[in-house]
Amino acid sequence: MRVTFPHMGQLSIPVKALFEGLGHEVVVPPVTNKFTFELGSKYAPEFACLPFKINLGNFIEALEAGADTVVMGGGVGPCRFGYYAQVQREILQDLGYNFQLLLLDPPGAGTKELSKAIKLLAEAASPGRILSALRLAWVKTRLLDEGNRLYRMQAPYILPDNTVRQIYGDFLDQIDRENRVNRLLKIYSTFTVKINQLRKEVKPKPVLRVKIIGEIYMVLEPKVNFDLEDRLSELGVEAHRQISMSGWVEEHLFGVFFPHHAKRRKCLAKPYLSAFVGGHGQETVAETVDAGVNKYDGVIQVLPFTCMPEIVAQSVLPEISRDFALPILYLVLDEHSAEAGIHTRLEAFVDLMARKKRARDLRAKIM
Amino acid sequence: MRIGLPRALLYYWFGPAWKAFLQEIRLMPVVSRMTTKEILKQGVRVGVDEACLPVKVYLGHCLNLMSECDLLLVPRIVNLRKKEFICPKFMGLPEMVKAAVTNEYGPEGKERVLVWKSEHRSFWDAPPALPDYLRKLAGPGKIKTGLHRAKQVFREYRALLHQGYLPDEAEEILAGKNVHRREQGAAGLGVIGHPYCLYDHFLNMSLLTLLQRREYNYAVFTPELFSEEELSAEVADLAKPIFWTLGRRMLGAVRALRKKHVAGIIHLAAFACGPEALIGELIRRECQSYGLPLLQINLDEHSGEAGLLTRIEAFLDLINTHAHRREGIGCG
Repeated sequence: MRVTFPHMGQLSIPVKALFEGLGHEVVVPPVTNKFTFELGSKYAPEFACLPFKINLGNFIEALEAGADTVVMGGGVGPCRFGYYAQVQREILQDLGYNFQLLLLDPPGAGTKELSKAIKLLAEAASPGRILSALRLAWVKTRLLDEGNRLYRMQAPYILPDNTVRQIYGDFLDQIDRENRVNRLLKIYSTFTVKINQLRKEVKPKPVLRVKIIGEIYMVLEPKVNFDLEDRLSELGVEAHRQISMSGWVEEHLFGVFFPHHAKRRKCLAKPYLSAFVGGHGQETVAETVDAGVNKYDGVIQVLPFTCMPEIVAQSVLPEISRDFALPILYLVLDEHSAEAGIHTRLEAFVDLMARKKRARDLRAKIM
Repeated sequence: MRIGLPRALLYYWFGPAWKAFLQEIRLMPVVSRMTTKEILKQGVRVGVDEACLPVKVYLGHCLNLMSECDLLLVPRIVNLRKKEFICPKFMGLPEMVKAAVTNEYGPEGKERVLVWKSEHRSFWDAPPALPDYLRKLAGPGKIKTGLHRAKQVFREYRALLHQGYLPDEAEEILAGKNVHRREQGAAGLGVIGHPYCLYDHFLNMSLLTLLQRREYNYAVFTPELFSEEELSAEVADLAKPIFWTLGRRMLGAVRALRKKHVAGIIHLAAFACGPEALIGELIRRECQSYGLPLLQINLDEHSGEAGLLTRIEAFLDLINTHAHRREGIGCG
């Protein structure tokens, strides 16, 4: 089997490790590019959300590159992601590709497709091998998330100096190539030492703190949000996000063992949005409240056009913004969004936050 | 006390039952009038830009009602069946309404919104789902009889829709008025879509009655003409069940309509409707494989009547040629 899967940020690194560990050949789709956008929006339904289109583009490019098995996630609704695979399968079949689609449905969506997928994916591997592949993928996921968090914290202080970028790039590369768990941990600790060393060498400067919220795919995939996190680091902004690959796995696949994610979400969102609305709607509200309570300088919501859960969240965000005097920037993106436009809005937003912060600091000094 | 019920979204599914419930517990239901341009405009003004058309219409109805009633009853409909949903926006509807009302009337406006949380099985059998305020006001005994009455009316109402009456006609019949059965032509035409697209005469410019008028003279079939069992049986063979109730019913209706040998299907979708984007694609493929003519129309706040009519007429012409060709006459 030549297995492929959709891109989502750094997801390809752990997923590749997992499938290779299970003994499959992996065809990683080409990094999402302009052509992916074009393919996706050409063959996808017009009003499907952007992740659907980009996934479809990824699949087409990977199938062209020789993949014969597509692995896709599923869901139980009401977010559209749960039904992506069914429609994508039809579209790809109509385009004449010869492939099988394996659906990884979460428990609760019926086990028919899931058991078929697991059986085909794991048939070549012994239980020991499966476990070690899972462990390797999990360690990689965790380290990538942690590494990203650290980088986003320190980069805005160091950044005009480009070595920090290089160190992070090398770190991603090494994590991708290394397949031994103890070596991975060592790579991570060297990375932290290097970054922290760099940070010590530069003069401290005031930076803004911003929380990125919204739909998970749009938040995690730099190719569709126009390198939002990098751009913020360059503008001297600490970008934080609660949404991460490991967080998703913990909450949605092993929620029983990690109940704190759901608890945090429900507790924080309760005064504004007490009901679950699918996707990351309630998370978005919860994290905005968190940003308000912890006095962040601003919040950026990233969502694909027509995203249903995020629209519900968006309609209550103005109230939170009022209550906490918290500036919010809404980035609604689709295949027509242009880089220059988004970056201009981002710069204006950063200016706004900076001015607000200066005024606040001044007021504090006078008082 | 006057309780406002917006005539939008799933009012077309539950409306008369909600009304009967309120009447039974001695409150006065005030239903907003049919959608008008002003209502839509108001909704567009207060809604989130990205929200879909039906939600904007709903918000418009809410604002319109605020001046005519004391309290507004807004349902939080999670699902109509186990393991299914309607759409995330129905689950967050009360919050969206509260945000819009607060914008217009300040924080006091928010206090006037009552939330009825309805979930599978708890529609008419779960008093705790009702807003606390109503339960305290009416007392448990009255609530119980009220819900019982609502359940009864709901059944009657659905039965009337099943017989082919439009929601406003069914409502009149329930109110004891005499409604003439409309004459229907011989050729069948399927019109599918979410109930609030099909039965809102303003949004679709009275498409259903138009198709039944003399110059077209079609027998119009909507998903409401089929029973729930029929519709779910039609889509039982899907690899993964569709988890949006209305979407599942629509795909089921396409398959059932084919068995009824309709001449064609018109699919009314609302602009920016999420589930419709995917289900529409499946419906298109389904019709293509049957060779069944399909017209997909996106309703939005700018729809002009002339544009819509032209498309409908072109489609009906196409159906006629299609039918003639199949019979071997007309094109030589």
